[in-house]
Amino acid sequence: MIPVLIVVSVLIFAMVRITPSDPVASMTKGKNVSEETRQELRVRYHLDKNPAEQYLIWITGTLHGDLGESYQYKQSVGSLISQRIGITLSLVILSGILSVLVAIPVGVISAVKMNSALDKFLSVLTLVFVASPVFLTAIIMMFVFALKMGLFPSFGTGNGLWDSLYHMVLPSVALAMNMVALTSRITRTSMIEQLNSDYIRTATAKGIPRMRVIVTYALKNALIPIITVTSIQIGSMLVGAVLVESVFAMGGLGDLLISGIKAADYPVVQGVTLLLVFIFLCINLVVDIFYAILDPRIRLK
Amino acid sequence: MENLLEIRNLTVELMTTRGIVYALSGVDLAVRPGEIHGVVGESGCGKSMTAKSILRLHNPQRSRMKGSIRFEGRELLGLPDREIEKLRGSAVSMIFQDPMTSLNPLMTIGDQIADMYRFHARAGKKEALEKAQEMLEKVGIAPAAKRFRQYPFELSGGMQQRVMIAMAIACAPKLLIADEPTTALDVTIQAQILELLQQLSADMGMSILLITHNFGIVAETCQRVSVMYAGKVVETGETRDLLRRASHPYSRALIRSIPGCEERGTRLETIPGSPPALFEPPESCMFAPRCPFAEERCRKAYPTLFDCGGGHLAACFKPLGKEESTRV
Repeated sequence: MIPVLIVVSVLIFAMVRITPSDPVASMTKGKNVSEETRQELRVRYHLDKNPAEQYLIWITGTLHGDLGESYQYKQSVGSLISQRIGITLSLVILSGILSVLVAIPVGVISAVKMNSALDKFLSVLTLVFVASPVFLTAIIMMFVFALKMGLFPSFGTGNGLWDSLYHMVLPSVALAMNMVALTSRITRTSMIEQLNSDYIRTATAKGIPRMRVIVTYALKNALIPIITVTSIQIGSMLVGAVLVESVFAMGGLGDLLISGIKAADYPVVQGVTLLLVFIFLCINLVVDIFYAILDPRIRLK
Repeated sequence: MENLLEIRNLTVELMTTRGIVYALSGVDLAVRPGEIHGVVGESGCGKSMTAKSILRLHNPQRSRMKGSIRFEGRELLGLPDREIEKLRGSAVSMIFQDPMTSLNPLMTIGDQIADMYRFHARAGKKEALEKAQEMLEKVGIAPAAKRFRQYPFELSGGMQQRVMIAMAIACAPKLLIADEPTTALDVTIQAQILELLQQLSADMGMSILLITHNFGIVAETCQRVSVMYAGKVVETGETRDLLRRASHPYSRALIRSIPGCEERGTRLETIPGSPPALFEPPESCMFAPRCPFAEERCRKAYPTLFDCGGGHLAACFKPLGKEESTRV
């Protein structure tokens, strides 16, 4: 994990600088400033040094928990992130839970009732979900449930636990839909494969009740590909969250990242991206642990 | 003697994407209490289909069953699924060809055996686990206390088949269906497993329906045998009698193709041709195209059963050795 993070940090650092942007220009946007002031800013943010030195300054700071200071907010990146990460994480966690709770039963039912009318209906429905991009789903949901029916708020994050949850409903459903589609398809495929396997035939021949055969025997064995896909999906949800946050004006990490990119705010872009990568890697680690808990054959290795 | 299992005129039709397959077209089979009854035949002749039909293990939406399957005098064919579920594993249980894939990879073998007691005997978890351990000892897995906590992948193929057997006999079934139980194992392990099955059958008074393509196994283990061809039983009788004077040309050809029956240096006999595809319901003898003795009537109608005496029946117009048996 650590070598990966080092490589990723170099990549992020390089990519931010490859883009044709000038931080000093965006800091002084619209103002008439002297070359001296420009030079002062460059010195203050170490932009006068060569890239290798800049990287070392950034990475040393990062290792000490200091992600640097934002050019546009004049605040530490760490505090900017900590103000917003709660919104993004709760959005991702909520929609993650929501989508798994819907997707697995849907996939299992489709597999058990394979090729029935219900299975075909669910297939078409999930295909529609998987095909519609998350920002479109978000806008349509906002239009229907917030503007036309007035059931849910259309923007903001609310105050207090219940109000926050209430504000989270539409964004997290919008974000979950894509994931429901893919996860339920994978669940169906994986379940069908397991239900046709020899040990399921054995379990049936043993007289184990059908429900237990489906849930404890087949689903448990089908879980590994489901977990893999779910973890990748949660990773891509971090990106999806950026879009949903901006549709619902929620001011999470996504918002911060986008404004950072627009303003060539290098520390913000670097900090947020590195954090997202770090979260993604942590998810992978957790998934590996899950595999080992689930499958004794993996545990042995 | 009252038969434990009696299959009469069983037909199974499978709906496939290529049309209806007449997998079984009128199977008659009887298993007596306590006997080991062999079912032999080439691949695709309906051996496994017959076995699966008893416990209704094939996809019910894609198949149609007719005829009669009576177990202990009770008709199974019309029974609701719940009743069949109760029967599975308790009165009738089954073991399969490939033990490596037939055990749940994510459950310890102890738990898999214990499941039998939990669902059939309604035993508590602790009691079920204790009984499962006893069962492992019974099938010769030692040390049971250690093996008990292992997963299937930690055992050899022979051990896995022993676990399958332990599971199958856990609830003291009256009938054990063994579908090619030794095909995937090497020869020495084969002998051990067959010996174990024979010993269990004798100790528990359990009947075994032993499905195999190997006449050698039948000769060693089965009291009686039925020979199947293209979805029908073509000959049935005492193993010794049938081996000595097989009446159906197909049975005789099968027996001839066991290695070791001829002198050294001679070529092993084979049966020319291959079994028919079963897309049409049979109206004449299905073996006729491959039979060296076939005549006109064999291609026009299905032969009636010929009684060779002593419960030995053959479905053939021209049973071999008819002259000898009528002479006796």
